[in-house]
Amino acid sequence: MSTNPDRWQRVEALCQSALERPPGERERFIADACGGDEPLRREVEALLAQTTKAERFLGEPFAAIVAGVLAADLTGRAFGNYQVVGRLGAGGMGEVYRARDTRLGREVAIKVIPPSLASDRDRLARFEREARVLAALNHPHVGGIYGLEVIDGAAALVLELVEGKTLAERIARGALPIEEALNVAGQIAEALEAAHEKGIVHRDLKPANIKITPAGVVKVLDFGLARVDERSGADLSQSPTLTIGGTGGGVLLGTAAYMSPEQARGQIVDKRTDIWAFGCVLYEMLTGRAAFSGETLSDHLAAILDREPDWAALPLSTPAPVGRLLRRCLEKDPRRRLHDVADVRIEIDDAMTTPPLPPAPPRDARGWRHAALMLMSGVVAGAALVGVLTRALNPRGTTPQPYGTTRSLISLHGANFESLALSPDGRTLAFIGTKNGRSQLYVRPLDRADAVAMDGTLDAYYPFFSPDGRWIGFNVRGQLKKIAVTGGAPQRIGNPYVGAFRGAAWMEDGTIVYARYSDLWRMSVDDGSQRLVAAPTTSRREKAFRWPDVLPGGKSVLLTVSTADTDSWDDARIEVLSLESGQPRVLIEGGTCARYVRSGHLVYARKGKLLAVPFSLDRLQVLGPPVVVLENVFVDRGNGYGGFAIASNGSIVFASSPEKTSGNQLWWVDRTGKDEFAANAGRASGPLSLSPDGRRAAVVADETNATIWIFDLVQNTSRRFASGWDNLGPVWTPDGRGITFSSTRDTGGDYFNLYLQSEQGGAPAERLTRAQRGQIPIMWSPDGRTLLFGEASVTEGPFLMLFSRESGTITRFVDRPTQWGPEAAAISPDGQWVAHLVDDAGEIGLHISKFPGGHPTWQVSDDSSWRPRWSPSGRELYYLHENHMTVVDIATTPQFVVGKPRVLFDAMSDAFDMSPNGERFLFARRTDDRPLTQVNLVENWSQELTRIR
Amino acid sequence: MNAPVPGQVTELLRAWGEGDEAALEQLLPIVEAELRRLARAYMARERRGHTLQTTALVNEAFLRLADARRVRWQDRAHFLGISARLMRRVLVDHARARGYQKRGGGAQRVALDDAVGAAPPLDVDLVALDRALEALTQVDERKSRVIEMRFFGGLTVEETAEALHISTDTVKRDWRLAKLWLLRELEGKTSEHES
Repeated sequence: MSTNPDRWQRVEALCQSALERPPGERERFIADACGGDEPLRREVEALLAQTTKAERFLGEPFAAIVAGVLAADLTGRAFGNYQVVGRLGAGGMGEVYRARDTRLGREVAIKVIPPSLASDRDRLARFEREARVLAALNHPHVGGIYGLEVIDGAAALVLELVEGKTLAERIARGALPIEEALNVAGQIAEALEAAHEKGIVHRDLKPANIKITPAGVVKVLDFGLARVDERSGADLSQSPTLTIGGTGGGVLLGTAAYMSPEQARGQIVDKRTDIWAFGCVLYEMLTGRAAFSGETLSDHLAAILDREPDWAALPLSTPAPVGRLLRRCLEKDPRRRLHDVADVRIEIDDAMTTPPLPPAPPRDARGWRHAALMLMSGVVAGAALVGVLTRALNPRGTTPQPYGTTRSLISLHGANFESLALSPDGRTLAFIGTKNGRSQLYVRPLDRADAVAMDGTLDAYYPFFSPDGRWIGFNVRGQLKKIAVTGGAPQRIGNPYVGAFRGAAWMEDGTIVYARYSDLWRMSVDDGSQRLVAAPTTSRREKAFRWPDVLPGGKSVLLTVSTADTDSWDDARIEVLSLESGQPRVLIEGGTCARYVRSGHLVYARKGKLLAVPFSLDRLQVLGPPVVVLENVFVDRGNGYGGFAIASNGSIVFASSPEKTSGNQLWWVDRTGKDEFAANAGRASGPLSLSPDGRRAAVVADETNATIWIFDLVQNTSRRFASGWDNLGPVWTPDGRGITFSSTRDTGGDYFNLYLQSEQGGAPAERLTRAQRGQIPIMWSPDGRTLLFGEASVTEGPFLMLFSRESGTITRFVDRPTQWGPEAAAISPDGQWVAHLVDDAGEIGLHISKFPGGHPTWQVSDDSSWRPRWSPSGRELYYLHENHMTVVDIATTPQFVVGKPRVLFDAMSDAFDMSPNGERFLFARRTDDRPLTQVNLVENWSQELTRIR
Repeated sequence: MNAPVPGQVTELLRAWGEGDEAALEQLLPIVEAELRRLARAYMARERRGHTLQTTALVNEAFLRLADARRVRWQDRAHFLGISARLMRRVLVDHARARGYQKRGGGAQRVALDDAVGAAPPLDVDLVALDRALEALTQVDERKSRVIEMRFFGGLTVEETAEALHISTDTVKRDWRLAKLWLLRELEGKTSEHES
């Protein structure tokens, strides 16, 4: 490869020129241009030879993937109604997590479907149909499928959570005794029989897909998923075990041990394939080894197609009927194989009732039937949950209402609601919906049945109409754009960068007033020139201006203002701002996203309701008290967006907020992972800090402002401890009387400094530090004299620092950067050591250093372990490794020794603290909203407002 | 958690734009921390209303880190460049880690389709691609940057042109040729490996 710059320039110039020419002329051109310089010609040719491949190469940017990587895995998150509490493993199709169904209050397993499938609309639709059929298969020996959830482009199957070990794990310990093997086989046969009766073939039956619960009940998992996940066009597509990943190159992923001869040949399979696999499984249970195996894939296939299993490997005590059954199951020609799994079951019954050689053990040979009957009554929920898949798409009939209004439900074309706009004449709905993980603008003329996805609008947000209703403006990737309602290519509006877009109003004069993160700007649609209209004033404790709406006349805008004291958007202010003077005036305290309605009212959102208040356009004044006019309206708790729009003709569209979630929760979890509900936590989600007596927890709630709450876990009460601007990182003092925290209250929102306040309140918080740096408390030394905290400036750090309570001096603890946050370190109970994170130019690890000197220091782990906590004895260190709560033994005397880390359980979130006795942990767990797939339309709605005076 | 100090980031961006590589070393960890924090925050609190797109994260990070009232267009271009480099590092590290995890050290191909998100599966050996890009940097640094920004940073042709102070045509031509070069480099490495 050429590395000489001149030479490379020539190669490049030739390549570029060649590429400008039609493919047929290139060779000739190169030969001429190189003029006999053979190495040059070869080099150019070699590059051009890649042209075809290059078309697809790097075609998809990593944009979506990197975000996923950055945000790590699903644990601790909510996926629709499901709170993911831990990872169970990687299944045939994707990652499997343990999750809690917050609506039905039960544990489920969630299998995340590969994005390749989830992002393919057709395949996903097929998958949905199949999942629906499979969900109807309700049987005590079949692991149930509850439904399919598609959220933000990620799709997941919701499955029955089956505790216990797989049959593969059981067999790995050795062959099963005959009675046990037959017991398990009988239950498998029952499951197959039930499925086959419904026309469902498993297709991938194998010990790894069969679980035995602690009670001895057998559950067959992943029924029929093999087919719905098959990849079209691939050879051997009937066998998922061979084609997962589709990486080509003859890579054998998974195992083909249980594949039937017809599967191996790539032929159509039916229930007889399951009977073959059943034979393989029974053989393996009895012998402890696979019926067919081979060193290589072809060897393996040859064994399946041509060779007999080693019948001599069966135990001598195998009852004759069982040997016969095995042979009839493992018949290579499907026509000669046992046809019906009912026959299998009968054979097994026979084998079990004709006593085999050793006497039957005390265990009731028919235990699985009793278990089945007992379970039968409990397993009824699967079918009901399929409703999750199908609800929403059918608009209900319209119902006449008082005041001549008409209400209807409008489906969102299968997309999840993000934001919406209504044309001034009330006839066209524009909405942003997400499907397959990407948001897009849809336009739905309300007199038509369906919405149109607008081309070229992927990743669009927060649409708004032009005054004439012909254009829809939106924000995409830092740009304002417009698109004609009738379609066509979107056009850029000006060049300025518009990120963190928070709503716009398109005015009659051809300018757009929009909010960018916290400031209000006005841009000309024609030339893209713009100017700042208004920005928050720190001295007035303002934090952000958002969600503008223009008042008739175009001289003033309504906007939502959050302040240092706005802990929720319900408490934000509605202000009116003169576009000429830039002067704002407060209209309403408490609410967000105000809109002017021509009936002479302001309508705004508060606490999930819409309120209306009479308003004078002349005096720009509110004329009376607000009245609730609509309930359950969606408001984004994160940014204050209200999911409603009102047209000049008086129609309103709005998204209904999902069913009330109970809010976040606090849970106790013991060392074995057993959890116990502790308290409702409302909006608080962590980080959290337990008081030294373990009775109270200080937890951060992060919404409009970050605030700190104290939960009394014994009396089950809670109160707000610190608010105003942002307050983070609560840490109790060792005597349990005070809480140290970090706040921007005196720096106008710019820097987090350290504060100390009595837990009881009363006296104002004492400011411990004054620095133009971000600081966050981590832990007090046991003697209460030194505070360990994290400090970051733009140019340095973050570093661990020590604050002396007596002298007020600040020193650096260790010189290596860490991560900024309360999770970065912990002081040992004897005050001798600090376990801390090092995050130094990509080198990450958990270290232990002597306190307070910082030397000597040892490394405990070299991976992304964080949130260290010492056991009360100081001999164990707990930390999170990925999402696993991990413990390691530590000895500091006579010499430093680190034991082997042991995983205790999967953490339900990364916000936790340890109880004073070290026996359990308190976790803060978030709940989340569910997707919305329809919005409500009320025509003539403003008529209802006329009664409000 | 706000970013440490707005304003100074703007200055560092400018310093880097003027050729101060030390400024970049100071910026990278700040930007990365902010991106990770935002990614988590998006997942946790604004995920209903937002698709988790890198560009959205980068833009938000930029707004939070830079002083919005003093910032210039070029500053954002520099920021995009830095973010692209960061993305590359994050992804290659991730691919490396997963590769080692799965193959016990002999990482070859790593498909990232296991990342939860709506991305198509990528049949690209990121670790090898990273090495090839390093090699390309030696030959033609600008082309290597173009790949970095477009593929790893998800930037458009226009954004890439802004960030590198070149025309959009040049970006397109660089993109075209760089891909040929990389494919050849990757092919060469594969055959060497197999022989």
